Amino acid sequence: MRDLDELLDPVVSRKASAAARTPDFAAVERRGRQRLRRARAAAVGAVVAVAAVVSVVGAQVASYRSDTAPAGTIEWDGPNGELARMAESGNADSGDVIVGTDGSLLTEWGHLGRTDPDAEQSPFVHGFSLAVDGRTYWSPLEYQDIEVSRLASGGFLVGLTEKNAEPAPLAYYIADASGLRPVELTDDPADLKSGHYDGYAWMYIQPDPPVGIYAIDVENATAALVSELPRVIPDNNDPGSQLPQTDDGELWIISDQPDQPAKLLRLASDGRLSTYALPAGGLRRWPVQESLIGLSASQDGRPILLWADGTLDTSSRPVVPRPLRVSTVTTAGTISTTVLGMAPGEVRASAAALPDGRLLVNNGARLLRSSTDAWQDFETIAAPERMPAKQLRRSVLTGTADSVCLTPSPDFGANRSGSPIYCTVDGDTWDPIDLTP
Amino acid sequence: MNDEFVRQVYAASYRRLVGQLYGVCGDLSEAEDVVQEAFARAVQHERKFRRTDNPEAWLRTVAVNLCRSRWRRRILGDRLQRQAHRPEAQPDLSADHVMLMAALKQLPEAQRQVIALHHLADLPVHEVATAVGAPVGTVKARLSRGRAQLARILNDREEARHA
Repeated sequence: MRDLDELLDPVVSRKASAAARTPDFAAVERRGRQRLRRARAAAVGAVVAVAAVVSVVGAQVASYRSDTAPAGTIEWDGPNGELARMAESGNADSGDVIVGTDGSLLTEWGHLGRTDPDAEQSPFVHGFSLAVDGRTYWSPLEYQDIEVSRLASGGFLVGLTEKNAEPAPLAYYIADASGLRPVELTDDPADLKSGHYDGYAWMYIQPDPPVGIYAIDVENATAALVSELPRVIPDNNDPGSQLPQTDDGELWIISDQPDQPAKLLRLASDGRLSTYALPAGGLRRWPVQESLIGLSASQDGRPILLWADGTLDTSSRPVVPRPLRVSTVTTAGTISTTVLGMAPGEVRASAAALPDGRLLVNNGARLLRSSTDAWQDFETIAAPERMPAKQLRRSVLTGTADSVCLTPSPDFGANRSGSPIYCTVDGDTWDPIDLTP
Repeated sequence: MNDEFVRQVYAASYRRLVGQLYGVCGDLSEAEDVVQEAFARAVQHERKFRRTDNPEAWLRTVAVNLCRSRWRRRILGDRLQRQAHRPEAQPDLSADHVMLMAALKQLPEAQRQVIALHHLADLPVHEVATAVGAPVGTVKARLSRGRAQLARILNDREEARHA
């Protein structure tokens, strides 16, 4: 082999340039304009939101700025802080909004930096707001990256990567009204039999193991590795992705390890692990005949798996409708599957169970509801009043302890601030949720 | 909206930026995507973009930042595993350079970035410093440590191959 000086040759970049596929500028332009529209709409929403926050919460800032915060705790930045002001002036874009199992809302915000982007400082900074118990709390605006895990107990675990720190560390915090408490990693594996954990999160920990599923103790702000799930990689492969878990301590997860068939795993609250074979077709592959497009859990402990036939390659036109199915595990321990009819070609489906056990499905064009908690027969129900079809297509269903919410998803091209959140307890009536206290 | 300026920069710089980001991201598709996203943000912030002294450096900084953010998530391997199922464009590299790219992926992120931008993308140190948001001295230190580490990795691979 040649020596290092010869190997470190700009020919590598030149060959990569030559091999690069160059899409038409119009496609990039559309992407940028979409971002711009979203930002402008966010600005309008944020002005309303912040004005209300300031008027309602402004006098109560002192109540959540603790002088006795433990070392390492990050205090909320108050409604007059930098992020709140940036949102108010339209200089911060809202991103994902995550509905907690207790109905609290965590919204991510991004801002093109304080300095010129071509200065030494990297241009993008992020923060987030937490709406809980009738108040909105604003984080500092100083993070390079944010990942959010919703916990079964209703709280959130937030992974924050510091801006311009060397090395840039990823630190985890419990986010609640008192501020951001740093999470301590315990050396011992999780004692699941104790049953005192508040939920699970897929965390990226250095140096070893690099990633894993951890059990979170919110009160003590600790995280312990779940040794019962070694080397399990959630299907959507993203720390901070939402692990389907129920408030009685059950976790459902897809194991998708290399060279093994994908499996559905259930981790009971006492640590017992059950394994289920997935229906034929397996997971999202290239190309595939059947794709898993959603995994969540009902509050009564059943997994909700949504499948769509056909490849997910949306670059091919025309996009044709595809059959949509829902699977769950029966009391006998087998996987049962029900056909839900046809879904639009660009499959953006989601499902969540109502408090009474019936299932709601958003197939991208219509809302469906099962007639019973057996999830066998489905009927079309009305979408929230005044919600255009376009917005329904861009919204996802998320279950909370006592309702199901329709949340606009930036992943589906939606803008959160321009689109209210709607929640229902039965699917018959939908209540718009004002994100402001 | 007047995007003509962004369009001109796109025509002039897109491929070069993808080449520069290839070493940083370690994957051509990823490099294409972060550069396209950087241009989308230039469209979004067109007025600000026009005022920058060096639009290409602005785009490079944005793209490096996007790549950095994605790398941590991509390290898990699952994405690569999935990508193995789909045909992708690949640069036509020699066997030695393929080995170099594999070795680069084993470097700490900060070292990999500066090695890729300085040695593979042929950027001067001060431009690398701008792109990664670090002082020039820090970049030089990372280059030194990164080269030493890279040499060790390549030696180990070579020995393993002969063994």
